[in-house]
Formats: sequence, structure tokens, C-alpha cells
Amino acid sequence: MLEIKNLVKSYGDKEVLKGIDINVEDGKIFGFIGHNGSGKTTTIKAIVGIHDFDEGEILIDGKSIKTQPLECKKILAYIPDNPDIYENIKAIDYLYFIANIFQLDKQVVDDKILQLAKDFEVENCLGDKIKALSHGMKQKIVLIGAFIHDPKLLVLDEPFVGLDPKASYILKQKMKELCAKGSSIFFSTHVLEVAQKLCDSVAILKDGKIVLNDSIDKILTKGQTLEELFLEI
Amino acid sequence: MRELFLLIKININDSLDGKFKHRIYLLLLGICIMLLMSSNTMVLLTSLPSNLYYIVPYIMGFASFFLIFLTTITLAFSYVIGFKDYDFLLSLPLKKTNIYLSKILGLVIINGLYYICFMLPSMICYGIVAKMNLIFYILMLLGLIFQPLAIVSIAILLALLFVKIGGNSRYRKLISNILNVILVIVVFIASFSFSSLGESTQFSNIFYSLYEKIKLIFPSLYWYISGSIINDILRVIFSIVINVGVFIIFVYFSRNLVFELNQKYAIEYHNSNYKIKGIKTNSQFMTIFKREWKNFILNFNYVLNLAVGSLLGIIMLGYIIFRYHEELNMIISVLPSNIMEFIFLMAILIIVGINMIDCTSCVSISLEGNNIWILKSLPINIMDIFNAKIMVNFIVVFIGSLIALILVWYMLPISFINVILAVFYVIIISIFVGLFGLVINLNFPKLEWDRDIIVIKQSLSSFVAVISLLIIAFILGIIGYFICMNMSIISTWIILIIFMGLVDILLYLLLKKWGITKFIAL
Repeated sequence: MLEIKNLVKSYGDKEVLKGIDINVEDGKIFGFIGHNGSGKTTTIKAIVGIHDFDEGEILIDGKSIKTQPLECKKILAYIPDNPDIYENIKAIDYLYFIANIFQLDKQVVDDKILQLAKDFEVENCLGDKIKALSHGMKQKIVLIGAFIHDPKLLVLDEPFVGLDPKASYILKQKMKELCAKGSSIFFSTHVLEVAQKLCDSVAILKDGKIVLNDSIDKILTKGQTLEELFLEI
Repeated sequence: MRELFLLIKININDSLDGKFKHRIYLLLLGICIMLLMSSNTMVLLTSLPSNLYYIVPYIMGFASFFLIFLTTITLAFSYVIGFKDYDFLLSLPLKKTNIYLSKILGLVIINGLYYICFMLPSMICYGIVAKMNLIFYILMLLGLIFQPLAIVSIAILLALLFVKIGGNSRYRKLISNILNVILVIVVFIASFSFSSLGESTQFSNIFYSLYEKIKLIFPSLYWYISGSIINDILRVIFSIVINVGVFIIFVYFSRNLVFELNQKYAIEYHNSNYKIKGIKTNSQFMTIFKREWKNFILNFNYVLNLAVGSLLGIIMLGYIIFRYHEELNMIISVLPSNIMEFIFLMAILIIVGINMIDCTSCVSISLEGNNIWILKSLPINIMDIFNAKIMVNFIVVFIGSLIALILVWYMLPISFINVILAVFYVIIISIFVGLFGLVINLNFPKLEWDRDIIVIKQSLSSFVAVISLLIIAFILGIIGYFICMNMSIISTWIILIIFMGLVDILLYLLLKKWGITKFIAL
């Protein structure tokens, strides 16, 4: 579903990504871990087409994000680490905006929104302006916006920040449901226990390079936790 | 005092963005304003006999007050209410009075700088032409920085009162925004009716009557200017006392109101009984356009700074036409048809030229700010994003210009073909403004900001776009004039339409190639 080949990205003189290779299969959850400033967000923004990159290739379901950006974006959803969305509109209007961009069926949109809003416990906030919502509630609205069109690839940048325990649990359930339907998930996190429990594979990024890229099962059979491995690296 | 100084310093540093080119651009803006005011002052001085030169500083002072009042009304919301560091500052061991004063003084300093740019060149030009002595300049400089205090205080107080009137209602922000727009229109009409155009057609008489009214309504301005001119230091000191006194009274009585309103401002309306009304499905383009339109119309600063100009122009034009209907009819009835067509052409070129500065697209990319990731990560054709922004700008310029065109047509009985061609011209120009503004904004984007007013009023993109559009409007007016001196009016319209139409096509192609690359790189 997602193939990253030799991804290189520099900001001026500073080389942030030095040739990243990642492969995420259909129906799998991939965890992307690294210390602050290692290049996780840069990688994610390159995947979803927000930033360009200098060298390499990113293929989403076989299509290049560089040459076929619209086709790629039609099947992916992105959730940033900071839920900056349109402050002066109502939450429901933001979700309708997303639904219209993806040209979703009118008949099912409202039911889907209501169901997701109920799952994330924000059904009472849909009529409120986004600036009236707390950070966690904004994050939930953005999550609903991402799930609403059943993406084939879900890309999340530190999605559990700002979510209460119940919302975190619901998000994990939703991620598993999405994978069960054949979609893939690529997310970055600092919460290593979550990555260990949730992910099928992880990659650790250090100074712009992948220093570890393996399945969780193989990592755990070596007798170490992900946290111990990360600290070692 | 030290605390207050630290707060003011950090506010200014934050506003200046820390970037060298931003400071250079602000300096250039100041220089442009000064050059404009100098030239206006010289025009006025040359249109009056030497015994009436003294009136000119009063007129420029009045115009400066008017501009400062409007600027303060639009800036008050960002500086005094809902400022982003409200919670942070209150959590620190700082006196509430100092927090409050730092915000008010921040606004006073900005308007003070504007006032200096408006008034200083005018007073210097007057001083040189009227051969004033050194004491004039000393007294003028002494009283200059104090002059805006009273008018800024009154403007901020009105802005606060409008927010208070909104109360706790769901529509409180809409109410205060509407009241602000009404106030701007009322002040504009009132200032225009000062000139008593109908009482005399002689400039000297018009300006003299304006001077008499200014003396009555702005006593501090009168004492300051008259004191400087006749070298009476007591008058200048008295004007300073009036201004400082009004400011102190304002600060004393508004302090609690500011904190009360900031607390209420932080609480958003919660709709607990909201029921989903059902999605209205639209095409991708219509979805983006509606979002763009809503972003524009719901943003008070955006509308007031980049659209109300057209509205004020229409009001002014309507006022002239209906107030002096009989006089204008008398003049028009004796004009031959070719002269009327010429007047119509020049009137439209001037009016549309003025409306060209309502360039919403020149800040539309910058205003995406931290939300730009949404447009960039969604499956949206980038040209659709551009087209939506251009469309919003088109509507703003087109509607204002069309209404003005109809008003001018109402006065001048000219052939229908002239009107049709003028409408085409308005359409072409309205598209041009949208395209041009977008190209400028893609070249000078400013995505990091915490107050949208900084982007709308003080960004390099808005400065370059507005100045360039004014120059282009002037050039089009000159071109139109020279063409119609050598060819028929109809031919002039056709040439202008074809020329600007080609420019529109070129700009569109530029956006398709270069614009898309620039947007992706944002």
C-alpha cells in the first residue's frame, strides 16, 4: 500500500532525511518512532504531499505522490499532530466540507458522521464552532474527518496526544477496524507501549536514517521491549 | 514602570516579526505614506490663495484623524480584546493595569506612528511654503505625538462598547462587527458632508467652511495647529493637556471593561440542542468556493479592510449624485454627447481604479496560515483552489464597480453600447485584480501569524499588491485618456478590454505553471 524508496529531503543546507526506505502492506499498522527533530513529521508530510522531496519515490497503492497527487490523496487521510482547522466554522460544517471534497454519497454521510461522533463522544459538539472546542475535541473532529471516507491509507502524526484514555481506546479500535477492511495505517508516536501493542511493524528513525525496520513479533522474540530497544539505539 | 516597558517591548518585537525584510517593508510603507501626504498637501496649497494657506494643516489634520479613527476601530479587536497571550500574561506575577496599559499603548504607538507619517510631512510642507520660523517647527514637533491620543481613546472605547452591546448573545460578534461597519459608514458620510460642497463651488470657500467646522469639533487639533502657527506655546500645551486628559480618563474608566470583555470573549457559545440539518452536496469547486467566501465574509478585519472601500465609494458617489442632482443635471444638459461619453469613460476608469485596491486575493493564501495542510493534503485540484480565491475577489470588485457604473449611467444619458463595453471592462478588471493579487501572495506568502490583521494590513503581500494596483489603475487611466484623445470612445473601450483581457490570460497561464509549483512548495 505504501512504498517509500530512498527518500531524501533537505531544508537548505540541512539534510533532514538521508535515504529512507519503508514498506507498509495492506491491512497492516506501521509505527514510526524517533526522537524529537529526527524527521518523522517531514517524512509524513512528504507522504501526504504537503511537502515536496529532493530524491526518492513515494508510492501509494502503486501511484506516485509526485506525479499523481490527486489520485493518491483520494485514497488517503492525514491527521496532523496539531489540529489546526478552520476556527470560525461549526464542527459539522468542517465534516461536510471534507465529505464534499471526497464527493461522498449524501445518503450515508449524515449517518456516518453521527455514528463516528457518538463513538468519539462529540455528538453534542457538532453544532459548535471549532474555536469553542478543547484541543482534544478538535482532535476528535479531525479524526472523524479522516475516517469518514474510509481511506485506504491513514497517516497520523502523533495521534494520541491530547486524547483522553477513552478516546485513545476508541481510536485504537477504529484503527484495527480499518485494517480489518484492508486499509493500512502509518503513524508516528512517542508512546512506545502503544506502538508495541498496536503495530505490526515499526521503524526507528535517527538523524534522518532508519536504524531499525522490523516486525514487532521479531523484535519481541529477541527478548527486549520496544522501549529498551529505542533507548539502546 | 519597568514591567510596563518590558511588556510594550515584547509586544512590539512580536508585531515586527523579527525579520529584517519585514522592518524594511514597514519603513517603505511609512515613506510611501509620507510622500503621498506631502503631495496632497502641495496640491491643496497650490489650489488656495496665500492668505488661506493656514487652512491646509487643519484639513490634513482632520483627514489624519479620520484615517486614525478608522485604523483604530479595525485594530482594537486584535490588540485589546481576545489577544492570544491573555491567559499567559494573567498567569504571570504582573499587575493587571500594566497588562492592560501595554495593550492600549501598543495600539496608541502604532497609530501614533501612522499619525506622524500623515501629519509630519503636511506640516513641514506648509512650513516651507508659508515660510514659517523655527519656533513653528519646535512647537509642531512638541505637540505632534500627543495629538492622536484622544481620537484613539474614543475609537477604542466605541469598539469596546459595541462588544459590550453584543452581550452574551450567540450573535455578539456579528452584532459588534455590524455596529463597527455602521460607525465607519456614518463617520465617512459625516466627514464628507463637512465639506458643504453645495454651498459654494469655490475651493477656498469650501475649505474655509471645513476649517470653521474643524475648529468647533476638534478643539485640541485647532489649539495645536494655531499655537504652532502663531508661536503660542500655551495653546500647544493646552492641546497636549486635552489629549492626555482624555486618554487618562479613558484608561481609568475602561480598564475593568477590557478584562470583563476578554473573559466573556474567551467563552464561546455552545449549541446544546443542535440537530444535523443534512449535507448539501456540492461539486469540489463549489465546496472550496463556499469555504473561501465564508472565510472572507465572517472575517471582520478582512471585510473592513478589503471590501468596505468599494461600499464607501458607492456611498460617496450616491451622495454626490442625489444631493447635487439638480446642479449636476444643469451641467450635464449643456454637454454634447461625445463629452458625456468621455466623462463616463473617465469616471468608470477612476472608480474601477479605486475599487481595484479591494484585493482580497493578495492575502488569501497567507490567511490559510496553519490550516494550509488541509488544502494540501486533500484531493483538490490546485487550480480550483486558485479559482475559488479569484472568484471571491471578482465578486467584491465587480459588485462595487457595477453599482457605481449604474449610478454614473443614471446621471449621464449615454448610449447603451458604451454601458455594455464598460460592463465588459469591469468584468475583465475584476478578474485581473483576483489574478494579480494571487500571484503577489504566492510570491510573498506569510503563513505564520497569530493575528490576521497583521496579514491583512501589514504584510508585504498586501502592501505590494495595493501599491502596484494603484499604479496600474493610474496607468490605465492615463492610457485611456490618451487613446480617447486620438480615437473614438468606443475604440478606447475595445482597446482597453482587449489589452486587459490578454493580461488576464497571461496571468492565468502563469498561475497554471508557476503558481502551482509555488503552492506545492509552501
